[in-house]
Amino acid sequence: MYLFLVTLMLLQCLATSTIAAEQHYKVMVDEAYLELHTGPGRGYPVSHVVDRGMEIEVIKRRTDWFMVRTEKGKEGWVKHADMELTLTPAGE
Amino acid sequence: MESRFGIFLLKSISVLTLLGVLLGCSLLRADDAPYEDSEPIIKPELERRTINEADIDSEDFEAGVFVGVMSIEDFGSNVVYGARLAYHLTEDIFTEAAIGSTKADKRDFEDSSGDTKNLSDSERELSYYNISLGYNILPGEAFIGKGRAYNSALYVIAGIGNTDFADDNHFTVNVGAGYRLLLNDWIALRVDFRDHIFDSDLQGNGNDDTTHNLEATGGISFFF
Repeated sequence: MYLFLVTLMLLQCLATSTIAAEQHYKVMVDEAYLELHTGPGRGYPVSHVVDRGMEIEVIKRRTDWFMVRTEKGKEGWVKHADMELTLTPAGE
Repeated sequence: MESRFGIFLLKSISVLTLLGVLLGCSLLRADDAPYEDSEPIIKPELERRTINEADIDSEDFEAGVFVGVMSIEDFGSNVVYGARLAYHLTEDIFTEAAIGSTKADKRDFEDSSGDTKNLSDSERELSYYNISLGYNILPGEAFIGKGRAYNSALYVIAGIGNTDFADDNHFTVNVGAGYRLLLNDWIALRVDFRDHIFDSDLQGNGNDDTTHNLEATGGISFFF
């Protein structure tokens, strides 16, 4: 029974990661800078900063945090409130 | 006289012409109006794209398995194993449902005491399920070696559930704490210490006594 559950969970994880690999949104930083944390929480330190005008790719979301990838390939987590200060390709 | 008439004629013609031009313009304008609503002659090659937050892959669930040791009060310690599914409500709070199973040993007094019921093999099976609320405290990074840092968090957790033991169901309260170490952004290692508290009359004195059944487990979980 447990083995079945575990297999089911693993399959679920694999399925979601495959879907996630398909396509990501891109947004542009519209504030002076955007802070990237190492984890999805305010307690995790800021590891990178993205300047205004740079494009970032939104990989996934966990609670109120988005995992993003910069043009240079650096990954980090951005607060939902901070993401609202970015522009979509439509300029919104 | 003739020249005066000529001038009058010329003036009349020019006024009529002006009126004609004005009328023509207004008519043309009236004709132009529908064009404003129609498609632009030059189409911008810009594909408008709005972001729907729901389309972004969200990983708020955490599923995992665990194995460890559980001590059933008076019945010794044995291997416990189980599975858990958590939903992260915020960066701080998560809810978790868990199931677990272990087996009880013989009590010290079991064979020697005449008035105590000995448990059969099936009665020695203990299984539990519970729903708990957890709170992440002390989030931070754990540094392993020189150049490796992993995200980690301590959490405190408490909840309610049921324990099926000795052919009886016991309402159970669980409290505990744990440590979550994230290997990457979706795989986590977990160490968890829990006290499963329930009333039981299996202590050999005939009364319902509160028992503390301590459990220490380690496991792996995946965010999806």
